[in-house]
Amino acid sequence: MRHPSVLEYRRFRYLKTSLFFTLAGLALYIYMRPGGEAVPYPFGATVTGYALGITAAFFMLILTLFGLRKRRYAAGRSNLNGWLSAHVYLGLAVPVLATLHCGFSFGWNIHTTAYALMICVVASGIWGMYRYTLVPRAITANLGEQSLDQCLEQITELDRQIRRDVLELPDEINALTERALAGTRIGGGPFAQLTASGERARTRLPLKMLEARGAAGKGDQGRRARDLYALLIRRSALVERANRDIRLRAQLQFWLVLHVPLTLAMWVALIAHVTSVLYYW
Amino acid sequence: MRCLLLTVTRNRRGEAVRDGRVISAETLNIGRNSASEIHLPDARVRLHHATLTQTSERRLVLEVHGDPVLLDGKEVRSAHLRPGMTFRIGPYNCEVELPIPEGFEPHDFALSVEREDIKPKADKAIKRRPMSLKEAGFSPWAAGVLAAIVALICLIVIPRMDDFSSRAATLGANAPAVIALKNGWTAGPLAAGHRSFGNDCKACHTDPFQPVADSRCIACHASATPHIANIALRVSGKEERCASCHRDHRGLNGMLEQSPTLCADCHANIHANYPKSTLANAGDFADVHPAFRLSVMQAGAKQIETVAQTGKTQQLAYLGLKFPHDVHLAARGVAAPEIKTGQQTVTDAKGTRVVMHCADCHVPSPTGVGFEPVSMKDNCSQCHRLEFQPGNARQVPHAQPAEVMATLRDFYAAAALGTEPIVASSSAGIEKVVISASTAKPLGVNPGKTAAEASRATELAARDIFTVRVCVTCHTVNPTGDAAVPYAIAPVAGVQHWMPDSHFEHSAHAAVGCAECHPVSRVHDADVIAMPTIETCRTCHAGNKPVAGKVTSGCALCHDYHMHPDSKTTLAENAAGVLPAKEMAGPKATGARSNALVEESH
Repeated sequence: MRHPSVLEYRRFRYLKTSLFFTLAGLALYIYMRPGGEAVPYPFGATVTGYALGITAAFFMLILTLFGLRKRRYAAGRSNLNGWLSAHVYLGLAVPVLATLHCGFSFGWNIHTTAYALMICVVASGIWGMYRYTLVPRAITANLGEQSLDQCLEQITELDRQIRRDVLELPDEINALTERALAGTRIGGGPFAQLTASGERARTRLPLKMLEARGAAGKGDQGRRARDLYALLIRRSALVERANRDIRLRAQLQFWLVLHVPLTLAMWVALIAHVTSVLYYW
Repeated sequence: MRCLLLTVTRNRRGEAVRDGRVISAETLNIGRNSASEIHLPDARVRLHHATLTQTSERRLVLEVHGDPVLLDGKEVRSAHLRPGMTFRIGPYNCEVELPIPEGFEPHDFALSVEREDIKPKADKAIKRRPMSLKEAGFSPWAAGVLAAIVALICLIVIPRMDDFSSRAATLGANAPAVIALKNGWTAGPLAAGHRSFGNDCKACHTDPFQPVADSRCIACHASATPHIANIALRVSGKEERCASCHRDHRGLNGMLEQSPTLCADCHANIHANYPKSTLANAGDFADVHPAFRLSVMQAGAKQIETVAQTGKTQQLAYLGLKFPHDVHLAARGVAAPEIKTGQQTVTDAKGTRVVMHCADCHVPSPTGVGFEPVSMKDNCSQCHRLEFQPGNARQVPHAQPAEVMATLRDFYAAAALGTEPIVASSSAGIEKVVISASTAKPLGVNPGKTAAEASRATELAARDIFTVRVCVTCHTVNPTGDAAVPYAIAPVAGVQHWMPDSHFEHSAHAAVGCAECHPVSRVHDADVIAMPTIETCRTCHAGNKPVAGKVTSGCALCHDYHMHPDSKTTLAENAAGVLPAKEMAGPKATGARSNALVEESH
């Protein structure tokens, strides 16, 4: 049986909720400005504006509460799938409601700052959602049943074998191989993780050299060279998989590193926005 | 050469355990290669790192092929070895020793090889680097707290610095970034007139979390008038504050409220809010607007009244003049004693006549709003000559009857002294008097007769011009019974503003012919008000909804919100509750502001 996606939760209950509020807001907005006469200066400070703004703010509150709710997985009786489904769909409604709330008026001020941060939050959310539809599958396809640690252990074991075998081979291959092994980077800082890809050029140097010398080696030397080549190829594939795993997982985490701080900054901006409006009533 | 190779390992207690075997060879190869006699398996050792040979003098020689070898702490490429010397290749310490006499096959020297117990770098597993963002120290919530703090400082603390202390307010007060952040709290750019306040928000926003009070507006705009000046008409709780309509922070002209629905909020159903109002409901000009009401002074009336245009009957206003537009605008022209250059004429068997146009009399005023007053001197006198004595070009002044009489008396008294006889008569010629020439009556002879002739001539000429020919052409003349000034002219009302609550600019309508709104070419009676009805306006003006080929027209196109400046009550007085007694009288009070006798064309 196919596992139902959170997006289809309860037959798209929250998609319908979100669409209802979006279309209602849109209808209210269009009704309130036939020919632009009723609201010649579309600001938030009309009955329509307040209604749209309060609805959007209420949605944002629910959306933010999801962040707290999901950290307590077992808490309460409410269904986390439902929360996530609501989070996605209500989150998509907020830019529409907020845009109607501001009546397409933008400026260099805290009001538009709050709006811009909200757009960034939603954009990072959409990106995250998109990553979540692709990345977990890619992670499984990449490492299969293996864990990253098992993969790293395999690499360590291969290194040991390669170091032993390469001792019998000419100095230049030995040196290149040692540099390649020592120079292999798996993981690292956030940037390195997000951009981690295959192996660095120098780690391929021994392979290139072995390729250049061809399989011409005779006797023990030739056999050893061919063995080393096979080992290096295996190792290269493993390193690439490890790095891809790290990159995919980093991408899966990174959007949240944007999503959460942007959300908190947005709340500060939103509080400033509401306060400023009421302060200068 | 025979060498005892002693491989040294350490047992658990750290004691050296030496295991030896004798190697016989001409040359001892030292290297990583397993074929080497002295096999040192480590990546830092070359495949063929060095060789040991024995000279003919049985001296031991070390020759290095790879990286230099540390011999007793010095780097060397070749050396003679003596027992007790130690050299190091990669991780291996090699010591040349004297032969060991017992336990081993005979040999020339011994070489102990011990791998130093430091784990070489090459043997380490891959250095463990952070494998996830979390391991790299990236926590969404930690970053979130940081972002929130940055946002708090930039969006709240710096902009509100002034609220914390006056000392804090001076921090970085001139830094562009600080100024930009402080400006971030404004809702939008100020109106042009309010830009002089600069960043002084408190100029209007005196109290936090309180709406801007009207008193702050009136502090400068003291002379503005209220919409409903009459307090008796106001409904408690219905009055809006200034900022209900005039909202700042909407750009240069943002405070000029033009929204028609704002008016319609009350006026579309005016009696619901103001039961005593005399106004009709007014919403959209296209469909919800009452017929125009004209402020007119009708014949016999004491004051100006407002009369609705019904469309069926003509509205009359007392003008006090006879002016037949139909006669003057006739296509066949009007007879004129003289024709000025440039005047359009018509010539037929009866002679040449001038064809008149609206603009001959109605000259636009410099403001473009209305027209210059029509005057006898500028507009009538070319044709309407005030000549009183046939055959004489002398005219009476266009002045009060007393002055006219004085002119007549002077003329005929002088004539009595003249040398030519003169005949004065009423136009019908029924009565006439002959003033004989002075040559026929020597001076001093019968002066009483001469005076009587002049007096009689004056009387007849006055009757002629007042009641038959000249004055009566345009004016209503009433006899007074006073011999000195026997006639009176009925008052002339002049032109008044018939629609004082609207503004209309004639120059803005120059593309439309006069007659399209004012069809007077067939109107004979000057009292007929040829003002367009609302239907006439609607042929070109749509309401709030745009219509192809029509001008979209909101309330403010014709109406002002604030009362006419004639209404003396200002917002300041209104706010103080001070109202002149006349303003308390009722809605009629506003109608009285158009003076019946203003000599103004509007």
